[in-house]
Amino acid sequence: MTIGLLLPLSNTHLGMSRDFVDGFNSLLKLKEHTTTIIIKKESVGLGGIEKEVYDKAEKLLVSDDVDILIAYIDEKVTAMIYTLVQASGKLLIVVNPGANHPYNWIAQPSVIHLTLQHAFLCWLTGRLAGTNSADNKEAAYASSFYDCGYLHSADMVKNFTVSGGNVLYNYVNNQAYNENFEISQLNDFLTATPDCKNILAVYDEKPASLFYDRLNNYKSSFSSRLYVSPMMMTEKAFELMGAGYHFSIEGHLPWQPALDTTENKNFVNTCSRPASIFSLLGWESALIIDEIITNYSGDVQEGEAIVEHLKKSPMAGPRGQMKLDAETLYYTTGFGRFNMEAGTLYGAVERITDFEEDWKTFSSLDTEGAVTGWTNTYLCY
Amino acid sequence: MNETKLILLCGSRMALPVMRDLVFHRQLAAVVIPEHCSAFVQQVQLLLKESGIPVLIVTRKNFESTLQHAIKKYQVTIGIMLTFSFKLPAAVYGLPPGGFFNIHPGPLPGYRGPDPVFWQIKNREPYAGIAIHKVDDNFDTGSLVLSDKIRLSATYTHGTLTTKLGELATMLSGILIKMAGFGIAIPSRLQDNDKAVYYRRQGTGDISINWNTMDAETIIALINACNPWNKGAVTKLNEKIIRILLAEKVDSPDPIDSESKPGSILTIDAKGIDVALKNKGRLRITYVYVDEGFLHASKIAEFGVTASASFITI
Repeated sequence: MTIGLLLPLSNTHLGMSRDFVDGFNSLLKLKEHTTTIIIKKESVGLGGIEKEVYDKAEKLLVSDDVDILIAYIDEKVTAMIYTLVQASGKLLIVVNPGANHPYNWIAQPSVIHLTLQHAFLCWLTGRLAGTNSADNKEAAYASSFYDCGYLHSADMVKNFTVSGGNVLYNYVNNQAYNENFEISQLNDFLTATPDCKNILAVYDEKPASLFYDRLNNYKSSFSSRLYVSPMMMTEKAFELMGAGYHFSIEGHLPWQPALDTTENKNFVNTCSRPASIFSLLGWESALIIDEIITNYSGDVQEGEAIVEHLKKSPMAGPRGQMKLDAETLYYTTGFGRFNMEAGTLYGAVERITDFEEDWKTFSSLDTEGAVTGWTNTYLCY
Repeated sequence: MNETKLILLCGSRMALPVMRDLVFHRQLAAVVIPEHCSAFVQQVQLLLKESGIPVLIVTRKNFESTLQHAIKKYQVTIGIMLTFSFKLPAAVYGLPPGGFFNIHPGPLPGYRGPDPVFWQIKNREPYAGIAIHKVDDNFDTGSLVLSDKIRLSATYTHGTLTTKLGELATMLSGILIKMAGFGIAIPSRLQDNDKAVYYRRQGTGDISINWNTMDAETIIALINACNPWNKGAVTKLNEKIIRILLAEKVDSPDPIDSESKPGSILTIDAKGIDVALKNKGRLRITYVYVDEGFLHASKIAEFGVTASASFITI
């Protein structure tokens, strides 16, 4: 079997592709598939130039005639290679952290998606914020110019609003992530509006650490409740925490390295590099390939037939059971609900495995109206 | 990237979102519309009034020569058809260097034919689709380039679905045009003719309610499929043609008399007209179209219709 890998670069997460390949190769090695699989790799740079993505996908699918293509690309760029996939009939596995999602969720028949479910988790966090705050339904929204250009941002705010919440103020920061990063305008609003105790925040891990740090210096944030996006609950996001924050932090996160399951320990201990969300996606992609090699007996270039097989083949992954949703062809897995009280150093994580109804609701919401966002990709999302 | 100059051949409002998008991106060289689509012609002329983009009105006799001339004159790089009723000859579809494509408002090869929007609703499909294919010598048979689907809600009328598919067509045509701009040979695959189904233009029998065989869901789907283009699904009452525009299934606590034949009117009141269906089903008709106008169904009583009357299958 020949597998094609389309891999991105990132200015923010320099090890993204290396981690992905490490996770991918580690699982294949563990399952003793390394001699039966040929891997062909192509880089798509930052993933934002559609022609480049198309050309590289075409090379893999047509010139190299790979059997299955795994493309670490953003949802918006994916459509550009549908013609190739539809013409070839081969299986395409789209991988990304899932901050964007289709405007209409109807699946392409031979395209499956493996993500960290970031948009879904933000949507759940929006609801959490709306229902938690029975006494105070008002919030400020904070993000960066870059981070808010994805649908996960809209999903959090929309579900907060649907749950009875009201966003009073939008703060979008456009600064570099360095010592000059500051949030004084947000502080001005919070100072002038002391009854607004909720903050919906969407940042990547680096700006998240700066955001927490700056916010913690302002009295206006004392006793605030932060509802945050998944990347704001990673270890790096808390690297400037010191003695704890004056505010609480809640949200949903896809995975944490310390997850106490056999599959996760296996993953963390088998990878050559420190386990990360990117190696997790690589490992889980390889789990899908392993399932195809081991239990699928049909033609490996028949994408739709493989999809039918995978629909009936849940797998045990580091995040829990990976199940291919027959309607959307997105893999869904368990996730964690994170809660860190003000003044504490560690958050508690409750694993959530009963989410099917929520996923159905979320994935039946078509995105309507004008949608703007980044046309380049930021593949930590 | 090559400059895209596109000629759009169309005949219904489904093409308007695509047209707007092309105008916005300055990719539209000319629009071609059959003469018999006169209302649509006016709509497009109004839309493009300030743009300087020519609207060419064609007949079955002159469309070939008009198109050949226009493609050369406006240096068209790609052609797109969407709800255009004339079959293109190779001498036309072979001219644009980027190719000629048809955006078909139904999945292919399963919904070939002139009005797949009607048939998808009537057949109560869970999804409705769009397929883009290369134009060849026959209608709807060319190699498939792109396809996508949307959920088909049981409440969608022909008009609603036309709007939704127009939006989907815009998204797909955007991808197609971007790819054409790459200067590549656009990949495609042959249609599986074994799976091909051709749906003819709907006739009287296709738009009429059969009270003896249809259940509530089937009737509602037919009504939606006929709204608004036919002003509703057709039936007869007291020798008068009535078109039903809106109806709903009723789970009435009142037992239906087993003697009530399908089509019998059970009640007429402010809620509408309740009609008996087969297997003791019940349908409430709320809006109708008659020669006198678009009316709430309860107004039918003013024409002397009573609860003893019956709708007749045509």
